[in-house]
Amino acid sequence: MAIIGTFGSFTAARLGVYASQASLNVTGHNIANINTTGFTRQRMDLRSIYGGGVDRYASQYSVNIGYGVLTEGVSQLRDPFIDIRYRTEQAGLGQNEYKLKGLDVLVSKLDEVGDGKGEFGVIERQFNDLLQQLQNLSEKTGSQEYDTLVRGSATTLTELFRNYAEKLEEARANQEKEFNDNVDQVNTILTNIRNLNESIRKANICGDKALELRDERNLQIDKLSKLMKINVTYDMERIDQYTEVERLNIHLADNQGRDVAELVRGIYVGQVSVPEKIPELNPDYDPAKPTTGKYIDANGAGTNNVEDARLVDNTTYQMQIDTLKNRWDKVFADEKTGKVSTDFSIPDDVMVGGLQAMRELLTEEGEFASKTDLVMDPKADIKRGIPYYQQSLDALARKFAQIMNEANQFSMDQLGTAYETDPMTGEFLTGDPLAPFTITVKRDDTTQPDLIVKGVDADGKLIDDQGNVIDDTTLSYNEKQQILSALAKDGVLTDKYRDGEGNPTYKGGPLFTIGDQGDSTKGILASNIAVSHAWSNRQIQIMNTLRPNEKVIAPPTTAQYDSGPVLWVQNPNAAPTDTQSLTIGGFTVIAGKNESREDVLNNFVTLYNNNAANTEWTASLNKDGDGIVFTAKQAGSLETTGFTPPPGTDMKTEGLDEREVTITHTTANDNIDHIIAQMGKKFDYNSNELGGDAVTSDYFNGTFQEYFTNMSHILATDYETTSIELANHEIQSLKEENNRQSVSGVDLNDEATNMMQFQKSYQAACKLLTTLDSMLDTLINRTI
Amino acid sequence: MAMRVTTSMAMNTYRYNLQASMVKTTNSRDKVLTQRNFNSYAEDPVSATLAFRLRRSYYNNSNQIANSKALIGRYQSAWTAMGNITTKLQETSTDAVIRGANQPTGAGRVALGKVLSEMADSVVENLNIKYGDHFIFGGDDALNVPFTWDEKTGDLLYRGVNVNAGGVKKPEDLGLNPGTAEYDAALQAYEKDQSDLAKLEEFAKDDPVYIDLGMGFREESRGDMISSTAFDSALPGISMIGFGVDKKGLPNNLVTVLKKMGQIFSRCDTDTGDYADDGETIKEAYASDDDYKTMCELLNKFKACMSDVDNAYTEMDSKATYLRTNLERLETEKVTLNEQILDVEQVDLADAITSFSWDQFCYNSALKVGNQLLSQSLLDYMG
Repeated sequence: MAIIGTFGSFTAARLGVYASQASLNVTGHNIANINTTGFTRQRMDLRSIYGGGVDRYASQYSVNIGYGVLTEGVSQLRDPFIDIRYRTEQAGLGQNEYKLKGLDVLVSKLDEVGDGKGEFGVIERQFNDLLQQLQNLSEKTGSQEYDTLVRGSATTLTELFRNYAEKLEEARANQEKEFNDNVDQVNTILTNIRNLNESIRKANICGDKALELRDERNLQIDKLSKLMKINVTYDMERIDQYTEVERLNIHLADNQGRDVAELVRGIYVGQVSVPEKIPELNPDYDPAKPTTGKYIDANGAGTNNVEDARLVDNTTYQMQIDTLKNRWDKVFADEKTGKVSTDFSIPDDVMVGGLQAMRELLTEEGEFASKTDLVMDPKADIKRGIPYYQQSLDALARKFAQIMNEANQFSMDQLGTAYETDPMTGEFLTGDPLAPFTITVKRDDTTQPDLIVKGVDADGKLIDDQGNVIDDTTLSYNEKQQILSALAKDGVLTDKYRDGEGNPTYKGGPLFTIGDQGDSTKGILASNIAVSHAWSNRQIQIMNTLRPNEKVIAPPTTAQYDSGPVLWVQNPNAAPTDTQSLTIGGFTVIAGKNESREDVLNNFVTLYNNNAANTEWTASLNKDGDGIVFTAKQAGSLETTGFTPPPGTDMKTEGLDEREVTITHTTANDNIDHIIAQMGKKFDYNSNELGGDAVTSDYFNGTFQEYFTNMSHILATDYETTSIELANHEIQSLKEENNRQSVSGVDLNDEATNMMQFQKSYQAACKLLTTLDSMLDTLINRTI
Repeated sequence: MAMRVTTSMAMNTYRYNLQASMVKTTNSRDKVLTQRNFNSYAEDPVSATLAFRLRRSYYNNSNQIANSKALIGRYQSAWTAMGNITTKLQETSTDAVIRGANQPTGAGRVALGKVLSEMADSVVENLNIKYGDHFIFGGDDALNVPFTWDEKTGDLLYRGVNVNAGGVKKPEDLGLNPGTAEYDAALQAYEKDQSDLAKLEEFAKDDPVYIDLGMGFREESRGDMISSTAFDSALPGISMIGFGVDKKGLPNNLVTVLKKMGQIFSRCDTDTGDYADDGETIKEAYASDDDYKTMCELLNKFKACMSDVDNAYTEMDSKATYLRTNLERLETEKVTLNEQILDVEQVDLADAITSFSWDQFCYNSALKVGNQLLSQSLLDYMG
């Protein structure tokens, strides 16, 4: 029989009042925190008190009645599965949000749509302007002022390149700072979680659920989930043989949600760091053949032992999770397996979240990715961050400079005729008197010895100091530039490239350099490209033609004088002894009167030419055979030779001295047209041209402007894709947050209903007290 | 149990949608203000790429139009100069030549000879005119005077080469025997003459100055333009007035013909009008039998040269006509390109304003909704 005693009912009523009051307090707490971020609505857990058990000597007439209500505690209404979904979306949201933020910075630097004069773009327009100036020069060849206009336009273009490179470097530096700040933020969050775990653990040990602290912890986990994809689990931690408390565990997750590494184990927490040195990866590592070794050891061989690996600078911002420790630096050891926590190097292609997005923006090189990059992340060649755009711009600047420089200089096969060489040895000659010199070429491959170029052979091919022919097709652009620059400074041009006064007509040379006084063309990048000093100082200009001047030598001509028909009267009846004299050109011969004119003239020629006194002229019969032609024995004018015309003769041909006529091509524009054609020509761009060890080879074919537009296109496409993904994640994230609010959020209608309910129950309990009081009063005071 | 809709849920969703509406309104407003369909590459990558490509073509087209106009100016000057030459030749020289041939007295001929010589000088002066810094008829050496007179021989030179090259015979044709000094001298002169002739042919036909007028402008190899893809703007003066000699040894060059005729007339005897040479009486008052024969041949040659000059003038005229036609094509192309660019880039203002108005209206509506967002709850009705 359940007899609760006279005053037992008061206990029930009192408990009812208390329960109602406590529930009202909880309702009030919920209403007060309706706007608190991360607050989970609470509920008072009530349990009916029941004596339980059966009397030993129970009677069928016994009635067991409960003893009232007990407030068991306050609990939160929260769905952990919605939390998991929410945090998964947050990771994707964070990844795309931070990526978009970074891309936004790049777009502000590189996007030229609607920019510039006439909305033609900036660099895009400047290329057009340079082309326009070249067209003007082509039409007005030989005009210095138009060359100056071309140079001005080129100077502006190089300044724009440097400006863009500077902006990209600034973006990279800011991104690096943001990355480091976010790493610090992650560590702060992890520390906060640890502190909260400690407080919650203590509270749990003492029997307190610490709901507010849990809310605070969930907020921190939500923040963390945006920066890194994580898995949150709970298990029970044994404190002693009687006590177990709930423990929070957080693991770093990969893009498929699998655990990768431990971040938090209760009060033991790791920190994310970016070490200065990391083990060097083996670029030849094949995951299918692990024996190739993932790392490189001190001897350069592959090894799978990370301790033996050679250390290199951490240029890829690879992150590491440090050993899990508690507040007193005690290292975590798993109580079941005994495994002690160690540092964990996070693989490149594993992380998802804002931190990874920032890291990829700082490190991904796209088509410029090296073998080592691909070992770390097989998708490295399709991910593009700031380094990709920096190298892309560098590749454009270098290709542009290289093409323009080559177009404005002699090619290798022209060296044989363009520069003075010793005809016997082929050596290049310089100075006055002409002395041989050699050109020392520093090889791109620094392990190779310098190449000594001596000159050219008879075919115009380069020869080394041993006289061996150098295959100039094996020389790189930089190596060829060294030869051309050395010749331009010290070489002596042949007469073909000088005018009549000896001034060089060849004005070619490199137009673009790295901006140093030495006009070096090695290592041209967007950050250092400049118009060469030689061009700025007008030592060189745009070369208008490759055609050399031609010297037309008019050889000296020989003077000739003609006697005209010689009067000779033949007398066939003359006696053999009858003679008459014949004087032609001051020379007299005696001939028989019966001789024919032809015989006499033939005799004259013989006698004249055999006479040693006739040192200036040679006699011969004229074409009609009736006269004598006197030809000077030396070519040249009479002034030069000092000869005197034979007397009584007429000049037939004047003797002229050797004359030299230089045929010039001052307004030939074939080379300017070549440069213009190069501006519109498609070139292959190879990712190794910047000197790195990129795996991808030719990655683009197009003109300079198409290349630049392509960069913008790639960026825009990436931006558009990221925007769409971000919008998608935002919507999904909002839905999950609303789902969470639906379960955990405070609704005024709900709380108002609760308030009414508990108010009524409070009133009822108080009424019960009053009733009981009245009953007892009746029993005690009014019953004898 | 139905889904609970809490205040914060409503606020979150409202905030998100309001922001989206704000973004739409901003984008619409930007379109109205900038009058562009897209204000960044990312908004429409395909259209942006097309727009830049069209603008490049537009820029190239503008360059080609500028080139065309400059060339037309030069050709007009050349055309005027050639017009002067042909007009004066037809009016004065023909008259002088006919009168000179028919003039009964030597005195008249001498004066006409002077006229012809001066006419030859005038032709040279016209061919040495400049357009800006360039000598129009200088070919690809337009910074130097194209036609000059040799101080020693009096020959007309084009870029330093005798325009009458090709007249020297081979020593074998002169009946000379090898090994003699005369033979060597003749051989030397022949080789020099042939070299000069080759140079003149090169000047006339193979010294192009290519300009981009929108025909493709492509190279075969470095410095070797594909001729059908560019316009050869060179006007070698030598091709206008002829060079070399014909089979009879008569000069093809108009100026040389005029000079020779002038010289022949100038040698005529001014007193008697005719004279005896070797006892024979010459009918005409020429200086010699040779002069008379030469004059007869030069008369025919003169007519042939005039015809060649007319042909060269006509050819130049047709080139100038081509330039004008090409310019019209380029200007039409410019308009087309401009339309295409506007079509891609420029927004339809009516459309844009309508969209902006609608987006603005939606945004204002969203703001109004915000006022109603925090609706009443049960608490407001509890006593």
